[in-house]
Amino acid sequence: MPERYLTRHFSWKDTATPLVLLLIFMGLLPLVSSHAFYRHVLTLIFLFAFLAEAWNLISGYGGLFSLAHAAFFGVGAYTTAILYVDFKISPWVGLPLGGIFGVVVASIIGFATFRLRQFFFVLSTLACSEAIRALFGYWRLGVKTGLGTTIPRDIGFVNLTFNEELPYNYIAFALLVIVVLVARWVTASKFGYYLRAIKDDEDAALSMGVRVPRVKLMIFGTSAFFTAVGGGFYAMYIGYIEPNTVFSVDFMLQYILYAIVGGMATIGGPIVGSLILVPLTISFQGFVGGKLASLGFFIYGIVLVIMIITAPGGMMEGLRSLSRRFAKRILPTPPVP
Amino acid sequence: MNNQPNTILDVQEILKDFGGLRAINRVSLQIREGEVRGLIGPNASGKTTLINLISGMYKIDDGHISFAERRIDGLEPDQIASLGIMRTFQISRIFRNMTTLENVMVPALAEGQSFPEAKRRAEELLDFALLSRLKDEPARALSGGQAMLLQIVRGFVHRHLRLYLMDEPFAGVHDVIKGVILKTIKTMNEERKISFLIVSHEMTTISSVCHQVTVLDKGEVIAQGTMQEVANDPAVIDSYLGG
Repeated sequence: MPERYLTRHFSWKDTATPLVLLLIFMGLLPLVSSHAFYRHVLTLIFLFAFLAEAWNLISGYGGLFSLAHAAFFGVGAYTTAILYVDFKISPWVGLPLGGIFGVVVASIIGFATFRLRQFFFVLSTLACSEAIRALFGYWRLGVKTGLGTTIPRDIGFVNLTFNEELPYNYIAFALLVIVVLVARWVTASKFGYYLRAIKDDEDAALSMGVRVPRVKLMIFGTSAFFTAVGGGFYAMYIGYIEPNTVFSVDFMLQYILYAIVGGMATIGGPIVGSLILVPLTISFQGFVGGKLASLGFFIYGIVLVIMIITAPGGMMEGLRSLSRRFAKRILPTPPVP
Repeated sequence: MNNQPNTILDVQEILKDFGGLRAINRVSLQIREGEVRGLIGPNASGKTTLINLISGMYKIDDGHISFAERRIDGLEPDQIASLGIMRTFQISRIFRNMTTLENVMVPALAEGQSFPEAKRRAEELLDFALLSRLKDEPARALSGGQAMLLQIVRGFVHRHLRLYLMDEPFAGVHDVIKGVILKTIKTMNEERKISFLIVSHEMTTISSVCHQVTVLDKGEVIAQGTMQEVANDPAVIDSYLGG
């Protein structure tokens, strides 16, 4: 069947080559210009792509639309900051420890919410997220770090603090590559089969012997781990944290949006979405300012609507359709199986 | 313990209420190893509820269920499946966005089979059920009958399958596919000694494949025996066959 042949051989969704090329392209971007603002935007692109990819693990592949990620991000940011500021522990230790705390929080939230389905799950994760933000807003645990905290800028690799943007670029890029490798493993492994089955029909998966609660918890935990690591990196990069920023639902919605517009349940989607939308967001926020600031958001909204209408399955799906159309032209008669 | 040595499923005096409605009222049922049992009854008699209770989708309120002399009430559906009890649903519940082959591989992988083994066994089964030409198609592209067939075939990939619970496997299915389903059931029963509990409204089909039939009405067992015996039972005639 021609359709099947083309899908198998020209799928942007499943083949590794375009993904590797995309990552190489992104890895070379910091070398294009040494301008500080350009590299700052790149750090944000890599960080948001990383966060969108982490969110995509549970929400794209697992089909569980989580709004608890604001909590994981904040927990990671606070863990790294507290360990660094109050206990002089290197952020390189703080990042994975923050990730582990993220997993602990995810386990508690998952235990409370996994029995819920669809909108009830979404709303309950949002409620958990907001509850944790409120908790950190009243933080009084005898450490210096709490509410708004400035992180000292002691330059050095050990302190994950640099005078220039380039190291941040490549650390964020390395995080992105790691989460992409994990996503790749997830999609290709037994685990990926279970996730897809659960996403399609949870009860049927259960009755086929799939350990649904365990699979959900594992992918939720993995997603939370990376999101919390992202929070720790963000804290060290920005140098200031407060509950309303690092637990911000608005901040979370940005990378969720990038994953959706780029293409959920695809590895490339969150990357492509961030690559295009992060500069666009910054442009509309920064350059259309002053009295016309709200006009910038209005135009940004219109651009997003156009993107979603043009490629309802996400940009990756759009690219996939284009590649298949192109393939049909260059392959006039696909072999009959 | 009332179990005979060859009893694979022993359901004793189970009870299930939904609010004020008693869906299953002290039902007892024994299925022997290698037996094909039909489960019939009028609409809302509790047939699907019974399947859901045995497979762990619902929890019983009282009584007990044993499989191979091991209590299984209280276990989760995935734990019950891992013991070798598979089930199908009345309306096909296939994994629509996975291919036909991947659908069959899911329970195999969940059981612990390696990728190559799961794939080989899945391909053999699809070949047997005449679905192999559709193996790379997304399951959502299958017709209703093909989807039902896929749902049934999927369970057989389990290496240690001993009891298969089928909920209306012949409903709305084309005669050709119905024939394939019947052939599959008979073959698996003869070759692998798999026991079956089959819910169906199709008397002719049921009588062609089942050794014994249990009749449920209003959540209670009202008759049990061969199809001939239950067809002549006054209680069955009164409640179900309509006289």
